[in-house]
Amino acid sequence: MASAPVVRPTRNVLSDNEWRPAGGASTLGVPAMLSSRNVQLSARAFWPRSWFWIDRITDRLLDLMHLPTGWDSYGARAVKREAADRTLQLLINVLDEWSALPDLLATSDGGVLLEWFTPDQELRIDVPATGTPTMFYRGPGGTWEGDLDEGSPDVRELVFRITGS
Amino acid sequence: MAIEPYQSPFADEVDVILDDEWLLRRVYPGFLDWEHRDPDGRPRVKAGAFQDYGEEQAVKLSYESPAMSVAIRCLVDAVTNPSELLATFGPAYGLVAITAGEARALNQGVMWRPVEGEPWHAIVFDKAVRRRKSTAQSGLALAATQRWLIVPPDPRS
Repeated sequence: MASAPVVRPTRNVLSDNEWRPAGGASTLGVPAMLSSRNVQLSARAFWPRSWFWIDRITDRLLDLMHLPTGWDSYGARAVKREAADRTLQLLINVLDEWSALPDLLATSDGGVLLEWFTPDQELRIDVPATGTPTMFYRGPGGTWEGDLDEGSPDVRELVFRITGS
Repeated sequence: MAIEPYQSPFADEVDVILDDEWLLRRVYPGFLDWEHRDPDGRPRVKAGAFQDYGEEQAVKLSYESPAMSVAIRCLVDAVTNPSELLATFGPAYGLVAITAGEARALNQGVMWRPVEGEPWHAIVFDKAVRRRKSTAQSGLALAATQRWLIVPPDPRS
């Protein structure tokens, strides 16, 4: 695991009325729609109104939830609702307004695979419908793989290291 | 209490499937990265293309544990040609190869597991853990990116 110092991107401080709740936020008590489709995604978090990428990520997750069974030609199933919810929650927690977005892919088990890639570095996070997400990072200093928890490298720092944003 | 090391229910058939044998794998279009190409213009294969079956699908196929399907090239060549492996999946899918030796170098085992209509069918499985981890998936993807058989057309052109 590379240990080079990383400049952490600055997160803006916003006032209360600049934030909006995601569906299911406990302070509201009712889930909010994140999409005009029949399926809703929810995340127990708040994000600033200016975060343009929320809609893009939500649309992509909904696409993955509607993949046909066997989409990979080997019998894989579509992304499960729980995995999509957890992915949205995770991204709201770790990204900033201008963070580089990951490539979102489906896993064969109904989970979501997040990937940031450059030829020199890559970060992948596997978000299953249940159980602990796992993380893989390859960079100049070597590789790291394990559960995504308090002991794992900081995702936001790694994304910034890989993409510069 | 010490945790018992994982023991795969599958056998690595080193005497049946030799290290230089090519193992073919279809690649879903979403697992092709056209932003990063090799000098010949062929896309990078994402590591996600080398996932094991999901748990439900493994049970459905009567596998004792998750594994990944491949086709043994010499057996494909004996009865048809590799392009037939893509015949029912459309032109956007690709076909890549790894060698059995490359898989074994990543602590993977290879076992011939023919199924009805596919005498060439085999499985690749992780010898150390129940489901293949990202490190091994990346290694397989890196090997496959250097051994393309059928490159689909670039969807952006």
